[in-house]
Amino acid sequence: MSLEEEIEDEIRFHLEMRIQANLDAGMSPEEARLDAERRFGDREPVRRAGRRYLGGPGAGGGPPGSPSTVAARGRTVGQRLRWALSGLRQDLVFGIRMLLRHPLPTGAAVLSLALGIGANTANFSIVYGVLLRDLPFDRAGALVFVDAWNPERGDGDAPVTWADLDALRSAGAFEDVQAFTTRDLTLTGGDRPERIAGASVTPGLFEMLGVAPQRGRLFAPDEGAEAGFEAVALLSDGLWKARFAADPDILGRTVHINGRDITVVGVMAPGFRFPEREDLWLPLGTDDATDHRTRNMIGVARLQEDAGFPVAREAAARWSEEAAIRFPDTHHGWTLRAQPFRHGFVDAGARQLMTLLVASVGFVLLLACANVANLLLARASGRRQEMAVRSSLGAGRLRLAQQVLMESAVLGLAGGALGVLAAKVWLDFFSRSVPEEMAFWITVAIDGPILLYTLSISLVTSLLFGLLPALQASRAGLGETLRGGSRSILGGRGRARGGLIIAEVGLAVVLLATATLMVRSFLALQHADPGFDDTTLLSFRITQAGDHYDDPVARGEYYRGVAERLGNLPGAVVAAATSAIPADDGGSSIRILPEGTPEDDALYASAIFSTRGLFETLGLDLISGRGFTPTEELDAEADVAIVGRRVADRLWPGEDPVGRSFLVPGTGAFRVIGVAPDLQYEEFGEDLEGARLQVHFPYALGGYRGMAVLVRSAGDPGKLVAPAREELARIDPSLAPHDILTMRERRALTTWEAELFGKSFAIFGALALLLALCGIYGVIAYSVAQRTREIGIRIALGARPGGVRSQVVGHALGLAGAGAVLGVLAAVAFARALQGVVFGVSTADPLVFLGAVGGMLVTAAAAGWIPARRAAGVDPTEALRAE
Amino acid sequence: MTEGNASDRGDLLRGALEMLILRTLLSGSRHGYGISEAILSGSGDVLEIDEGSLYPALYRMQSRGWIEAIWGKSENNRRAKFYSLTPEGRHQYELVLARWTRFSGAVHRVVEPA
Repeated sequence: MSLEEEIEDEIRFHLEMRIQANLDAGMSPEEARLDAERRFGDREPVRRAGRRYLGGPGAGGGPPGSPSTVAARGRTVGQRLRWALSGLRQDLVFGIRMLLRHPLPTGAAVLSLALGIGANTANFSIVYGVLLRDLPFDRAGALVFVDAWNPERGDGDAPVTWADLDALRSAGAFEDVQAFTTRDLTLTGGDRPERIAGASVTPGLFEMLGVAPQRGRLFAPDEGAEAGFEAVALLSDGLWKARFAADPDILGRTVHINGRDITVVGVMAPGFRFPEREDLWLPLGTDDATDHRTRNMIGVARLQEDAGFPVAREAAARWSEEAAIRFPDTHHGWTLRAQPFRHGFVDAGARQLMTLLVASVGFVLLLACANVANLLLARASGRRQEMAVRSSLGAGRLRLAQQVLMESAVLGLAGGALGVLAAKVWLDFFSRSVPEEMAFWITVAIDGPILLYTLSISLVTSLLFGLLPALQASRAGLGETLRGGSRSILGGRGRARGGLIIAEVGLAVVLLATATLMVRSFLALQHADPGFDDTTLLSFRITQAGDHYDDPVARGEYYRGVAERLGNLPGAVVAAATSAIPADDGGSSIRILPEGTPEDDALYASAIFSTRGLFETLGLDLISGRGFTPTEELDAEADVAIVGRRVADRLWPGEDPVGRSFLVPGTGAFRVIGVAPDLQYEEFGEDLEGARLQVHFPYALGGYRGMAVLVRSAGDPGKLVAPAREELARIDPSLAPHDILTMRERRALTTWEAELFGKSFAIFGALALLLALCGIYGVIAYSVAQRTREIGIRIALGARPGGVRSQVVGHALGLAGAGAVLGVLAAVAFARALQGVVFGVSTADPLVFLGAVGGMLVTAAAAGWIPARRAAGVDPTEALRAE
Repeated sequence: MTEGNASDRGDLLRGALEMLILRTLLSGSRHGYGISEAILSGSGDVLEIDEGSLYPALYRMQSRGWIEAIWGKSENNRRAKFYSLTPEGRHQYELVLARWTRFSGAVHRVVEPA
């Protein structure tokens, strides 16, 4: 039926009905028809209006209920949906209008939400980037990171041996087992030698990961070689572009790596670096696939199609037991550890901190929610009239609740949109605070999944803070309002708001206590005593490369020369080469035992190899005995050692250790020539018992190619950087020093996480205080405004302004006090989770909690003060006239 | 009252007509004739307009989404178009009612000073 026909039919129906009514009233048919026509009037405007308003798209837009749907029999699903949607749209427009009518409270609500949602978005994007985002590998979920640990030794992330990998290959749980080890490589042939972070990888590793080169090929199975015997290399896209100017003929080109000629066989795809941010790869192999002595690799395995991590762990545990029996000298006490690939880089501590951060910003958002709920509740009381009128007009309870929730959603979404901006600011701060480049597979960005998360939390929080007001709105029946008195329902609503404030204060106390702990931990780290003066000390690392240094004597002479010549630079006092930089490295783990005791009683200790000036450079005196002589320094056969004080106390309690001997199983006996003060070797906060037992050996005994060099300066150690570089270039132009930092800079670098977390929590704590302040202020101010009349009467009856003031402030303090009690209970429990995360402060320190409560109470008093003054200034005559 | 001739009086009348239509439909769906019966004759012919002029208003309100139309069977079993309120229409009614109350209140205060 066409539109015209429909309109004509409707007109006809109207006339027929009228005629019938007229006939029923007793008119003649002719009279009835004429009367109907007269009453209806001109039909043309009806037709015109029909064409205008009901016409199809061609006739100027199809309004809801256009002829096609009208013609349908009954209501279709589409119609119902459109109906519901038009209701929602109406609510949306109405909601926005209502919110815009109160710009100040609305602005405050949106801002609180933006801060809360922003912090959550930023945090989630970090957690997502580090812990959740798909790794850029083929079926990355089945990749297993295999390393070893030795609880007895306190050695957490140790490498594994070829024998371990071999055993896993035949364990049946894995489709493939490969390995890698990171390397400091020196690339020569350019203007100056460059140190490149690289890795040796077993030839099949990249294929197993499913990554492909953009040029050339991956390693062939037979190209794997022991370190120093590799013939081929792969470059990262970045290195190829930066160092080789994206040379199109790079394949087959010979480059000089660690003094050897090596042929480039491929360039990896842009963006790929492995395992974290390395740029150069050599093929890793062995002459002895059963080697169970050399721990120098991290295993990477791919689970069998149907196997899960439990299977991998079981296989690793089985082999650990077997290996402890078969190779007691190398595998006793060691456990092979199989974990998700990512966890090899993001350890449990970091994951714990991230969880903590997520929980904390969750709290901030809850605080914001409580504030907004309060605001809406306050407004809801103002809107009781409106709600009652609407419900009397037939608006269902559901409909009223829907209206309020829609307003909440508008608030939530506005907060979310602004929150994304806040998150960007937050992330900028974060990335500025991270001094190291992150692993290539970590991308922290605000993109699709993050925005989806933001949208969800915006909506969920809308529901959270909108629910209570919505419930109250739907309850606002006609009866209540007709009774009229504003006080009749205020009681219940006041309780709801008070409850919110108590919860808010509780959350704020938890956050404040946590923030205090984190900040104090960070300050403690910054001021921790390393055991030596680190203000005038320069440090760097250097790795010898090239055939020349295959000779251990050449290695020793080089480091002796470096120590002597850098120590003689103008502005320098003394220098030494050492295998470990204090407060950063930790030494090599060895086992020691006094002569004449069974080997099972051996202690794990940390071995440090150095040239003879180490203690002088650190500015420390030996407690007793002497240091190494120039001869001992370079003598690989010298059987002398300097022990740390704790070692002396453990091995020879109450005796003079100088002149005594101890054994290093598998190496030999050593004579103690001196006792040294104990140093902080691990990073602060990473104390391991083994690292506190220190034994110093002459350089030649370790004979390492890669060493660290410490230079004591007379003045600013930073001024020594350039002269030291020049001097090093004169000694051997083919070697590149790297990681050049003053010891203070190094401290900052090793404590950046604590600093970042300290600052983050300080900001959360401040935010929590601010939000709580706003919340308390809102509630108290509102209650004062509601009670103006009562207060006026009391003042008229002679109440003193001071009394009124203190009563209002007391109200604020009462709410805050109740919240603080709950908060402290929660904070004590929460702080337990921080044990092991914080440094130098007790998580049970009562001062921390008292401080948080004190801060909260002061805030509450301040929040109550302004409304209190307003209350005290109420003019009784005005107040009584007000209603 | 014709379309496009929107004098102040016309606006007022049109607004009143719309309000009355909305009010009538609050109690359930009706066909055009039923609406006209309820308001035009119900008002004791105070509103001197043609019954036909109801329809342009209905069509306009339909296009705004305040009401929707469905073909159904009339009480005498004839095909007829039934109008009913949408949620938007309910909301609209509350708005115009409030406006109207304000307006009539103002008039009332002027005409009968306290």
